[in-house]
Amino acid sequence: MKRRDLLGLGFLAASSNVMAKVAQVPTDNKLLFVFLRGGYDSANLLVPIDSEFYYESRPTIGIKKIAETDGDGAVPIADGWGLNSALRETILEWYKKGEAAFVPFAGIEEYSRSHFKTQDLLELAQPVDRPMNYQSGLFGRLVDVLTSDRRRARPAAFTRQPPVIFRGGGNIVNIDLNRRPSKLSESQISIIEKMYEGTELGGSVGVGFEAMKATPADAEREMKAASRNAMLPSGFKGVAETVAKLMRDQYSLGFIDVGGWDTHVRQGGSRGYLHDRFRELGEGLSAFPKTLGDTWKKCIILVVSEFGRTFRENGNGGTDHGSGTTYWILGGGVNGGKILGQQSDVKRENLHMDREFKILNSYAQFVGTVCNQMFDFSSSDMAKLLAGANFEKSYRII
Amino acid sequence: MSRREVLRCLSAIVPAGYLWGYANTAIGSVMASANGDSIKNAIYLLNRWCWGPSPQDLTRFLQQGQAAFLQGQFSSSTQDDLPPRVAARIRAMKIESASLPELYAASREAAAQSPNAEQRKKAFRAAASTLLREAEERAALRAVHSTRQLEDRLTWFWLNHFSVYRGKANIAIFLADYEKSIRARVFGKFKNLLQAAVLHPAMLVYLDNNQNKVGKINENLARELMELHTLGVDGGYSQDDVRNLAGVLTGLEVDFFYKKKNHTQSSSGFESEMTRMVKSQHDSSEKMLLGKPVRGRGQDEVFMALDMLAGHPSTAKHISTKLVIFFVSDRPPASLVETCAHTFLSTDGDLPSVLRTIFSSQEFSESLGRKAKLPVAFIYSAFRMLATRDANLAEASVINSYLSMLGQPLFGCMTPNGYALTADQWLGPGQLTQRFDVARAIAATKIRDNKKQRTESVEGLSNVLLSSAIGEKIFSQASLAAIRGSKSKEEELIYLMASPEFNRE
Repeated sequence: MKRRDLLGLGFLAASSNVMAKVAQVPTDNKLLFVFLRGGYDSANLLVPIDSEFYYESRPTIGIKKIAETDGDGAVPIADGWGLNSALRETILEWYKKGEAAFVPFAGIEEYSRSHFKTQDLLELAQPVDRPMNYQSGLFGRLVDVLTSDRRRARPAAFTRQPPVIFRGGGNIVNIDLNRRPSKLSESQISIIEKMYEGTELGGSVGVGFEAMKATPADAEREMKAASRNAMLPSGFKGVAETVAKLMRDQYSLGFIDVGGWDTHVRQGGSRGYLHDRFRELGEGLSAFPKTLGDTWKKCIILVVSEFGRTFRENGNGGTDHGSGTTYWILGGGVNGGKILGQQSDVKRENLHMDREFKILNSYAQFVGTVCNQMFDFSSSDMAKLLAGANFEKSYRII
Repeated sequence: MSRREVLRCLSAIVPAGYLWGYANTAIGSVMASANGDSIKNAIYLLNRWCWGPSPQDLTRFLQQGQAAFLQGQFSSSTQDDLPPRVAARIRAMKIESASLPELYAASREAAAQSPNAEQRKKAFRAAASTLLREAEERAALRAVHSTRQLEDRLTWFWLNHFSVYRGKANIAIFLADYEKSIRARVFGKFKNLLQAAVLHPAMLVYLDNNQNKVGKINENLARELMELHTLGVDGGYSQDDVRNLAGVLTGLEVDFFYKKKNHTQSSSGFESEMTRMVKSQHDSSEKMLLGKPVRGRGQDEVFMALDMLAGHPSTAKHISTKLVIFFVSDRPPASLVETCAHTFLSTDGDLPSVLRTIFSSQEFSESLGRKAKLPVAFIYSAFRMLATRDANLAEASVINSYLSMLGQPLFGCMTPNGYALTADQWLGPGQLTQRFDVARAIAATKIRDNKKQRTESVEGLSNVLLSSAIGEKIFSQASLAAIRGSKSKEEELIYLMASPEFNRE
């Protein structure tokens, strides 16, 4: 699908910036932000299969190049790159159909390698050299820029608490899909709903119960500190269909976080821990095209992590924090089947600090490009959304 | 008044079916002499000055009258009247029996028995988390049972203002003491509170001042000190001020081995014995801070800078705004904030004076019943409504797990800005439905425990809230219909706690 077609299906009849100022709020374009908390090992997701240095650096966890149908390993998908076969039935299929793209050498140009600071920077999407304003998250600003009437932007966080990314966007619904199953009976629920009927919280209570009823009872509840209470990929798999339904029927701007990626020890190689997490993530994501149907064409899913990991494996069969990572763009209408953005050869002298992937494609440019091309914002709107971000030399995502 | 008279008076305001729960209690007699409006007023005020009304505090309020009750809440000489079982439990805690340096040294020694570094680390962490669990338990027990409620609410407010995160390094070991230092100063001057919080080992660890040394500046504490603790983000400071304040704070660190040394005098010059200034790591050059020169004099310059920040007009405004949000409204009335800031500046930051300004304001009275309860207030007020003198100590850990479920566990905020005070940051569908689940769980547990023990009634204050004299004044018709249509006492409690009215204060 071409960008113009997507826009036509969406809220804009024309793509001019002048039109954007008077255009209606999007009603059917969907944007879902999937945040992999913990810093996933991108080198074992999008594998540099032609790099000898990669295999030297990862003697036990390196993922071997394989033919497309041949067991577990890295399936070649582009010049020099292979995709982890954990995603063979899911994202690889989308990639071949042009519904998935990857942006390697991506990240936030801040080198504390602190989960929490970098996660915040990612959700706030503010210039890294200025004090963080915790009351202004990326999606909070997106909601503001999209429309002054917030309900028409229809944002929702599929998280226990309203996440940082929605800060400043007003009363954004948060739906904890990973909660313990409620022991309230149907009749108790409807009696409570009646108490709230006509009150200002009535809508929230209704939505909350609806989401609660739709949540599988056996969702994974394990948590990890670096994951900031985000659910694990197995849990994501359990709730993804619910999220997809909610995105189809009620919301156009969503956020969900998935943890379990902080693989300092025994992450495995062609098989093992990380492989299984990727597989679960892919299986979870596959609920979206299935559930969204035609709307899948108007949906974009971003999969991002706060940073990547060390290029070399450590002494424990794992990897430590490292800056550059790989972002994913998924959706029925994306400019897929490609590796997007600037690239460099994967060799030792191209590492940042002899440690990690360089950042050639900044996070600000990435999210700016997505929002700009998806919503066709004016330059003043873009300045409100991402002060100081430069995405002139950007890539096409739609 | 004889018991018979009490019963007769009660029957005038409480439906007969609800009588038995109060026939033997003090609240019965007090209720009898108060009218519905004054009880409603008491309930609303107890929701703001306290963590909601408990049978005991409602009785006390009605006996003493509004003014005397509030005066008692401010008075630091008032003994806490904890139920004996709660008092005994708290007294038996390790965190109550030893000073911070002693606790630290003991945990270190216990860990030293382990054979290798990895296990020593683990053992130390285990010792620290035991102390943290005690701190959490103590906080929950006090929130429900302490009669020093305003102090407790303020302690939460200031711990949140000077927020530190339990998961940072080995900070857990400092947190009981951190809470204690803040609690001791909530009725004093802001500058003393500021010193106690910012110079405490917990804060020095949390905001990395241990790594802040001359030539290797770490700005973390300096920035938050101005942005969050004092001036506010638009308080009129520059990046140079952050840098220079970081310079003032260089060399200020935690003395981890304090206990090992021979101390001839107890004074490191700081309130916390484990805080010290290391001269060789301090930048002793002259600095400019907020347009004024600060001479490099080690710890004296730290105190001077803190006083300068504490007394700044921006600080007065920032602190006043947060207190008005906490006690009055998510949209703080500008005039009240201004009055409070004026009080703050004219009393050298006297916190009780600022609070009295708030409590005596028209904006405060007008706001009663219109503010969304914080998650923490929802949980504490539910347990207080049903609190009994024969307290169930096991409730403390349950309370803390509910705080986690609703997203406000003690010391659980990762970021230094603390939990958001305004409802728009948490009162979404997720929060609401979780609260209903918590309401159900509390009701079910209370009924079950009551069947087991059968010592006091399970009703707590619920019958008072639902009596015909008061219920109609507090609850909407829809809520009353739900509650009165309940099929069991358990359901009645669920709907009561789930009602829109119970979720406001």
